[in-house]
Amino acid sequence: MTPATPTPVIEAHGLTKVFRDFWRRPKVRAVNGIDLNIRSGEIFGLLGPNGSGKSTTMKMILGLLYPTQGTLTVLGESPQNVATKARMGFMPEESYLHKYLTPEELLRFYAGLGGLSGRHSRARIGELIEQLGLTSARRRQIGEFSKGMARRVGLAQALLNDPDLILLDEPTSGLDPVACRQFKDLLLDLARRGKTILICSHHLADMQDVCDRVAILLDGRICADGSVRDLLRQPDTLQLTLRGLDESNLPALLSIIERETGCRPDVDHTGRSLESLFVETVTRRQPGP
Amino acid sequence: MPATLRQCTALVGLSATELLRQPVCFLLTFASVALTVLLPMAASVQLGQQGHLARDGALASELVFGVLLAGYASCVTLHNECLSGTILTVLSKPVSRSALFLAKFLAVTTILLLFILESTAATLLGTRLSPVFFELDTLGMILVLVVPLAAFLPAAALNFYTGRSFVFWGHLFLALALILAVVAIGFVDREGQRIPFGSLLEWRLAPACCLEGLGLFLLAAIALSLATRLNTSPTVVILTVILFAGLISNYLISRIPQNQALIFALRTVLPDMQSFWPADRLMGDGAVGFAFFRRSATYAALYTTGVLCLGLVSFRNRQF
Repeated sequence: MTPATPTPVIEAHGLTKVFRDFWRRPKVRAVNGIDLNIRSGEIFGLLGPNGSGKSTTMKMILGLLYPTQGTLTVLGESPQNVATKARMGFMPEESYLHKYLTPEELLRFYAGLGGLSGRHSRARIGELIEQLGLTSARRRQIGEFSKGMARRVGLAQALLNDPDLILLDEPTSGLDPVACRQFKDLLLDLARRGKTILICSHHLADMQDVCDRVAILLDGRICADGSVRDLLRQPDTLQLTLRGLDESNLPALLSIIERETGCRPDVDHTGRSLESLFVETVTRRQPGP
Repeated sequence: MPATLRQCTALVGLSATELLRQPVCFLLTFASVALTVLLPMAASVQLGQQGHLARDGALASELVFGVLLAGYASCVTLHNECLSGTILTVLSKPVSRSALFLAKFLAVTTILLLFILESTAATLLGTRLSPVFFELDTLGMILVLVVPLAAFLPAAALNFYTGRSFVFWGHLFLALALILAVVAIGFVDREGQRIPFGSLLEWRLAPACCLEGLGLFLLAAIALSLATRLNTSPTVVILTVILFAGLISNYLISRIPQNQALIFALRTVLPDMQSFWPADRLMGDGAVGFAFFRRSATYAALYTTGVLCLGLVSFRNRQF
């Protein structure tokens, strides 16, 4: 018996968006007949240069823009269905937040919009403020925040109603590497809990770290899509990792490989990422709680 | 509380709070109040009637600053949020565009209500301070000069010690201080002698200010509908043109040759702002009668509903 295919959370066929000028003449074809099938519990990345149609696609999924052609269903419903949005969370590209409010006031407001009741919303707000490191800034106006802090507040409002589908537009922009790592860990944790996540980003390394599948958009069309692992695999190249090898044995090992396979291997030490070095250094230097 | 009502309360509350924290809204209100209260002190002419200048000046100030406030607040709460993208986050929640649009209107009317309350108090103070036979009310003047101090010092202290918004609390304290000033001055005459409360205040101006408030609600509906597509400058300009065209609409229409269709169209489109301008009715000892007020209120309600419906269609079709 084959395992059941996960339910599609976002399904688009021939999705097209044409922006028109004042005289209703077509001006820009921002999205051009794309097909998408994002399944429950996966982290899906939409990549592409500026103007490739990523944000337009996301806005159509949110029902903020109407498709010119094609079909689109989100959680089995039309994106214009207001009730469906109770199961969605959205963090926009810029932290479009009310700058005169404090994080607590803002989250209380969004809890009211999401229909969270008093006691439940207070508990959830407290939990998110602590989880996202906003405790010391909970009573400051958001207008005074750095971009990274504002992003955290933006994420907190997106997660407030514990949504099934989370849409994130450039989520790591403006975050320092430690916050970025925490953020990615949080996304992976959410995915483990069965949440579906759609991310638009330019930060390819971050996408590579968290996404299960990606699609690359260019001029409104999908140029490549698939699992990150499949897309990045070079079928004619194999990597062999040896831990604890005494380097004096290396020449003998290389000659055996060359003799048996006819291939001359490239040898190098495995490097760690700059991000992991930074996070480790900063974490080590910071005083504990 | 039902979910929809809770959503609307949250939307109105937040939008009104944001507007109350807008320095420009605060400055417009304060400028109107200051002009209303200070103009009678500087007045050296009576225009043939005691308190005439103070009264007409106060009503004109309420209308002009109210129009600016309605236009600015509508654009800040709707158009600027569309431009900045704040509205995207709100609409990503289970909130219908209709509920959001109507909540924005209620938020603007909340700010206008506060403005009307402050204007009414300032008008009562201003007319009381207006010189009688060129003799100023010194006691009243001192009281009026204390009002901003009484409003802004606690707001500044709150800001300094707790970091709360000076503009927000200054706005609220100003309203409170004005009401207290009216109550205080209501108990004394120009010489400081105790009198029955309010016997020297022109209470007939209160319904007149409220009548203007109805006109401001109507103009706020127009401003909000315009703000679905236009930014602050064109909205305020169009609103000002509508105000003045509405004030002279009867004259304009009377100049048109007998063309029933055109007259009907103009009467439908142009708001009859004369229904909300009470100065003529206050000449001598006149007052805004209940029947006139009721007729104007009905007209304002119908016109506002119609304009809001058009604005709603425009907002529902707007793409972000």
